[in-house]
Amino acid sequence: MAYFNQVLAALVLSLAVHGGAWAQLVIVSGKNGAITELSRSQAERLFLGRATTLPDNTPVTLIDLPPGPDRDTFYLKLTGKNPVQTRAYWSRQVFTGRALPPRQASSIEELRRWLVDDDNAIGYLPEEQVDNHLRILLGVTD
Amino acid sequence: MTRSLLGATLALALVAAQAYGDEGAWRLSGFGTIGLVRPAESDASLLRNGINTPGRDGIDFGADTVIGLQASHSLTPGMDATAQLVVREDQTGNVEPRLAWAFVRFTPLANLEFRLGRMRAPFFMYSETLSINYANPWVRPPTEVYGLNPFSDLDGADLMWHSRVADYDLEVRPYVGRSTLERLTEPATLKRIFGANLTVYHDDFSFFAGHAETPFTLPVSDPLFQIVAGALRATPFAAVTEDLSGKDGYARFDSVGMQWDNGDYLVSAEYARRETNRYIPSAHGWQVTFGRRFGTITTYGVLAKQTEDSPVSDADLSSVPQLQALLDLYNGFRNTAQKSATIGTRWDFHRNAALKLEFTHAKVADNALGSFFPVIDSGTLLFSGRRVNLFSASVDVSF
Repeated sequence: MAYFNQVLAALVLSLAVHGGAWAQLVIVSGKNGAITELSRSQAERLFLGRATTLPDNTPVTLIDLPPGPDRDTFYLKLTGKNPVQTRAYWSRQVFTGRALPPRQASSIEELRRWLVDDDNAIGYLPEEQVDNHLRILLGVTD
Repeated sequence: MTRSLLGATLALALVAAQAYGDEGAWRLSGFGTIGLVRPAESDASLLRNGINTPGRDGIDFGADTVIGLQASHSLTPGMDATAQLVVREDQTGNVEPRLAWAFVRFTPLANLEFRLGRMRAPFFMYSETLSINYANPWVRPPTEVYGLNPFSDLDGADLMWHSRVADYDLEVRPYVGRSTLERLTEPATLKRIFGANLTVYHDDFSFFAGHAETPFTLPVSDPLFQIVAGALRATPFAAVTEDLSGKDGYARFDSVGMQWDNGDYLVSAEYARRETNRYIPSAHGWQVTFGRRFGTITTYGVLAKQTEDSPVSDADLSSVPQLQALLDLYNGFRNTAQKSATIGTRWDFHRNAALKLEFTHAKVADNALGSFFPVIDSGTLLFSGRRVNLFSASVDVSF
């Protein structure tokens, strides 16, 4: 029985990862935020800590979701790094002074609040969680 | 000694647990390792050049155990400050918090950063993460390469220029400054460091090249030096002592390396060289690491070798055999050449923690210490030509 539960969980997980539109993650800012456009390569460099501003010198504050499947999927799709790689990579970026660590929201509600409060903040969340206070900058697909 | 280190580690961990958080413009982060290492030979202790205090028998907690706390603060758009406090055993036997990083960063342009203060001296590919074991695949970066330069601080300034050419991210980084290394006797100093690094990132691949040079001081006054210098001064070879100790050295450091990590496999390779005119030998070292990930388990193997290119002094004293023997011993005591093979496993058993187990088989070069220091009162002077096995285990965290 436990085995079948595991298989089921694996199937659900693989659907969640590969399952198309309903699991789509999007990068967002506040509706009235300073960041109105974001290319995929800009997003990748920001979330890898290789850039801290946009090309026009607008500083960017990154906001992470709490540890979990959405966060892992986001980094895997955007940067190609699995969770183990991502954490080792980011600890290198932070402790060598390359980049400030992303602020970590404790929930999607907090993420939304911070995005609205901080004009320079960007974050990510499942598309169906986007409300009318947020602006979608980029869909994150493989 | 070990107890005070563990005590300090625990105290800092408690402070960290309370202070850790995410309060607006402040970012607090931390890292740490509890590590133990045990050479299989009873007369050998692990020598991490410039890092630990070797010389004790049995399990050594001091070689790898470390805790660090970092606070960053955004001051204005385009300006932030970072300080990192690190507690670990140093080579004088002390366990005291010290500032590993303390810098102000200005970002005048989107692709240009300027930093002023204390940074890690970035001589080699992994120099900046020498204590951030969680970020590295191994228990510790291979001593054959990283023992070539024991200086960790850069007190000065650097410039980071980022550029993107096609799919390649470039980071060009010139730096200047000085560095002091506390020792049991007088400190050693890199007086005027000029260096530049180039890092290129492309997909799963990164490439590193660096060069630095500096005048340096290395005043030596240990008992072996006193004996050798005393003997030399009584002969026409007194001038040889000028090459053994003093304040008039010049050193060049070079490194080229690459890393590739596609999630399932990782490869890391580096070649580094230290070229000096006196006081310490010129030497080069390389390491090659292959790793394979299975989910949260990573297995890896490392081959590494350090070779001495020229000894501290190559003066010909063969007309006085006893004097030659003394100088040979002195040269041997400064020679850390060896080769080694390592296998290890890393298990990321928690989101922020990894357990590592490692076994190393090392063969020390002729007339050399290798990466080992004689256990006090063991009667051993050098490990020339010997094979030494080494067990290491660590738990690394990042939070």
